[in-house]
Amino acid sequence: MEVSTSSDVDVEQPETAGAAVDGAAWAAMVGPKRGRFSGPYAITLMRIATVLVILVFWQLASGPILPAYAVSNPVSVAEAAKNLLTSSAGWSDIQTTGIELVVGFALGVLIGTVLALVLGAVPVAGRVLEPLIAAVNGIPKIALAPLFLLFFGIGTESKIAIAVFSASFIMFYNLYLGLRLVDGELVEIVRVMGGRWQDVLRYVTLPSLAPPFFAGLKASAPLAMLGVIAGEFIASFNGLGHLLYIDSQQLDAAGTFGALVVLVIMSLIINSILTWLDNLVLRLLGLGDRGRAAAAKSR
Amino acid sequence: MQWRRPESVGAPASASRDARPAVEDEALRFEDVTFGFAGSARPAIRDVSFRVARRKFVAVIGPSGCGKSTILNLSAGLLSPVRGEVYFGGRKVEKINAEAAYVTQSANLLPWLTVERNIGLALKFRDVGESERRERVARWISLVGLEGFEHHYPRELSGGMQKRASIARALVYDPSIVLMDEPFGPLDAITRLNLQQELLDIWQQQSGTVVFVTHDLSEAICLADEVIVMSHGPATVRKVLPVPIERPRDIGAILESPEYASIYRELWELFHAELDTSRKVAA
Repeated sequence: MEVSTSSDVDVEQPETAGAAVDGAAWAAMVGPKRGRFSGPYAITLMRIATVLVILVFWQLASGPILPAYAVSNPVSVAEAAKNLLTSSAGWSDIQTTGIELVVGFALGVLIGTVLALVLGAVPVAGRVLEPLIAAVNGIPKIALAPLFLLFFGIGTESKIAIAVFSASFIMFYNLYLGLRLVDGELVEIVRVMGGRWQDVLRYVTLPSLAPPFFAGLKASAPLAMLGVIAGEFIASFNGLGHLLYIDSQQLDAAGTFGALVVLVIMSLIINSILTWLDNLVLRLLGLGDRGRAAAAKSR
Repeated sequence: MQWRRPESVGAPASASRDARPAVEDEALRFEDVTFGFAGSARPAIRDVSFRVARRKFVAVIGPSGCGKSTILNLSAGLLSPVRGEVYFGGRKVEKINAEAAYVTQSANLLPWLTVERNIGLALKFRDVGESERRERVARWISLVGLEGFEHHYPRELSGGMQKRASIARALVYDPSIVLMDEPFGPLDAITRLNLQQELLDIWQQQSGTVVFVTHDLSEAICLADEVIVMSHGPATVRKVLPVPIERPRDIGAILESPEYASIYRELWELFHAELDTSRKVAA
């Protein structure tokens, strides 16, 4: 399968496009792919500038335009966040919320995954339980928080339970639907090639489930966090949600914003870990972008 | 409507059936096989009987939706007949036929494995040792002209290259029979011709048994030793037509030969009659 290059075709061309338009010569002719403001640094700089403009406006408007008791100002918020991050009381709150979140999220993922795999593997169980699961999923998870407080008390256990509940449904649905999308022809091909059931699992089912699994992780992590914080709002004696609530009750806007800043940092950390994991696994499975597609198409 | 009566040309095929050649020469045999999916209104194939001799290339043609793929699935052991029996090498096919290889319409390579690992997978399932596996995979990669693409993933290849990889994957474990379900259907005309010629060349070296489902009359004549013409569904065997074109074959030369033209006319008339009846059934 030879590909004819432009030099085979006898048409009038400008001098520069002469015999061999390839590699460096071509790159020089068309220039790098870039818009006027779209270089890698320009975008980052513009992002930072946007944040700075907002912060400056906030600082200047707090008082003259906006009520300072409600919006505080960036300098005070930074101080409050720093206090939170440097005091032992602050760390104890961060630690409580962190443990609730990580344990609740991990258990939720585990339970949702196992449930999906079991229901997928036993079709009868799937048909019996699926409507029930849908009914329970219809309840807003926060509405169950008072019940969990009754069951597990106002300590960390009740928050973990809410997080488990919030995360597991997303994981269940993502994987359960993912299982249905496993390509039946691939399964048949592997079986005709002599694959046993464990080969089908390893070479077809599990790799097919990787994308919905990671999509599920990214979708359920914020819900687990929502569950933990909401649980702490309702009844708790420590944690970032507790702190947020108490600070706002005491009209401490700076403290409230400071706790929010820490929450944002936590969720960014979790999200970047999940993104990293996602990319790693997809790359190992050859599903990630390796930029080879263009090279292969030329043949 | 003028077309020759099937009986006048069908002599060789039916004679060979009556003669009942030794089982050793037989790869695949269908005996009055009827199959339909549970809950369907009518069977997909009805009372299908035919016999494929070893080392023969047999094409199965028929109107679309006439159950051609069902015949392959029954041969592979992916489906079991509702009535009748399928024999492979003299033994009844009851579970997945481990001596068969399947090449489907879409390449169906595993997207998460490189070309090399896709091709080597069946050898791995058969516990072929690492060094032998490498050797056989490398040989097939070069036979289908994919050198340099060993470490590419399927989505990085063109449709034709994916098809080459899937053919190599099917042939690498020396299956006794290769089942091909319109393998070149989705390809463009040029790639198709190229791959047909390559398949001819490869098959002439390997010459295992091939059952090749297609709805392309020309493809059937160019590739096969025998063409099984199916009737409109529920499909039965309408006629088995020998293709007396000698090997090695060259598709360019075949297309210009007088034998090709006469076989094509014969097939076309058979096919046309089938389409006519199917239209009447539909109306």
